Amino acid sequence: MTVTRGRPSLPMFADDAFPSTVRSTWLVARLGSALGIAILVCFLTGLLSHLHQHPISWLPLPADPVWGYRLTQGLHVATGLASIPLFAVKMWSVYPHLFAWPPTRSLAHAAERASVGLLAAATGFELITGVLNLGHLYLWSFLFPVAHYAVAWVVVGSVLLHLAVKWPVIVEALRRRPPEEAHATPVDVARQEVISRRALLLATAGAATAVTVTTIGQSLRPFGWSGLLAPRSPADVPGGIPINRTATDAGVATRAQRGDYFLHVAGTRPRAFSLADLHSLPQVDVELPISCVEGWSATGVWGGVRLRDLLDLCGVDPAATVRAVSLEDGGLYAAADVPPAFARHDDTLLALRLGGEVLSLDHGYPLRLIAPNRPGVLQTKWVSRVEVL
Amino acid sequence: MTGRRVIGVLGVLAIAFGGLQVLLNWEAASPFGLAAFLLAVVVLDDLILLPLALAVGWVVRRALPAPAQIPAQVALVVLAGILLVGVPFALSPARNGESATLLTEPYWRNLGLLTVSLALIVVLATAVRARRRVTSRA
Repeated sequence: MTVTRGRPSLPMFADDAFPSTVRSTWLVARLGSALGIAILVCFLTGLLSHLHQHPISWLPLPADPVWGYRLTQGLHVATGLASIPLFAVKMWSVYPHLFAWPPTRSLAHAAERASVGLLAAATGFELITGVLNLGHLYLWSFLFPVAHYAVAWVVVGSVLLHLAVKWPVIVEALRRRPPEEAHATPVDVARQEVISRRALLLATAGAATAVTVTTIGQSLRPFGWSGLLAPRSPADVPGGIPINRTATDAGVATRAQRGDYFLHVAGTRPRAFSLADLHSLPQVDVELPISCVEGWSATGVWGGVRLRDLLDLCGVDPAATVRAVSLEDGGLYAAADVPPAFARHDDTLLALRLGGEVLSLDHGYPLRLIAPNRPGVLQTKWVSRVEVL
Repeated sequence: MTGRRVIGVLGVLAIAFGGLQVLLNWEAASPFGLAAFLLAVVVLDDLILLPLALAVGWVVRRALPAPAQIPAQVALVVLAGILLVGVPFALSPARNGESATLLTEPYWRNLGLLTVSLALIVVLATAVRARRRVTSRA
């Protein structure tokens, strides 16, 4: 029975406001399943990225494979971007529920609607802030990583709550064959064609694919040619490595180029190394990807001194976590902790060169950290000190 | 039912953990700014983008000939996805920033190219569908 008492007279509240029969639990369950899988991928890869940046002592992360973070964070961003059309079509498919009348039938129904509202708002928040962050379009007062992480838990929690409430409906809808298609109204049959549910699902998959193909070039170089909408591109810059933050942005341009540079390394035999000292130590070249939290990644050949060699020279305990500190005056990424698995890895360098050339100022001249399998924001540029924690 | 209850409780705990993160990082999380942005997301989705999508669908069903309607609807779904991702990049002031590698693509031109490509596909698909209709009638 349709309850009309107190119903607003606005057209969207009318019984026939949304005549499309394409919307159905059959469609919603399939869109929701795809979106649920995408959310799970984004959450797990995002959690891993968070653990890299906020390590837990009892859960040390490995430094191998060297391409691990490149894969997981590339997947995080690519899946998030591909989820945008999925989310948009899912919202379209459930839009009439927003105008259901009465708005609540019981306390349980009110709680269910509130949880769905939270799920929609939180998921939209994650996708929108994610894409705006890729475009460095900061239209907010919060710190992106903190808010993105906190709301990610809200998304996962509200997905679980939604599953708990709707499980029988979802299972039944996924088992069911698609219901009969019908046209909007009998009058329109002669001159209107309505997209089928399967066609809409395919169109949504097509949209997700189009978004992926036009942006994935920032993570996978073979797709550089198709990166029409990639926020980063394999540009003509030193070493072919994108630059997120320039020396000018970081306020270190003058300091980094002064002739009185020394690297100070703590330990039982603390020492200050001039650039000439660093060049006189055994030099190593390694091929390592640098992978940004924003999903882009690129491989470079980095040359310099093994961090392990410097730590040994200064008598640092092999089990110690060290901290690479930049010339920057504070800021979120002016220092990065390097746990022993990374500090002692063969491929972890304090790099002096990229692609055989002296590091450019924007790539961290005179010295930068480069280590395997960790976010680019932790690959500290313009390193001036190594502390022992 | 027990399994569903466990999932539901886990869900509530995860939401609470997210809320706790906001409380523990009060300054960085800027709770009022965060709440305002959540509200803005709802307004953007429910009061701007979805009504716009419905209006476009309404126009397509009335303005285009029958054989063009399904190809146009499919193309619009794809185009919507592309625009939702590409427009923020095109609008970003960071395009003219210090970094030579950030947002380097000519996004408006590329969005135009993608739109024209989709329009051509719609025209092609419409021609094929119209021809099939004529053939089946004959």
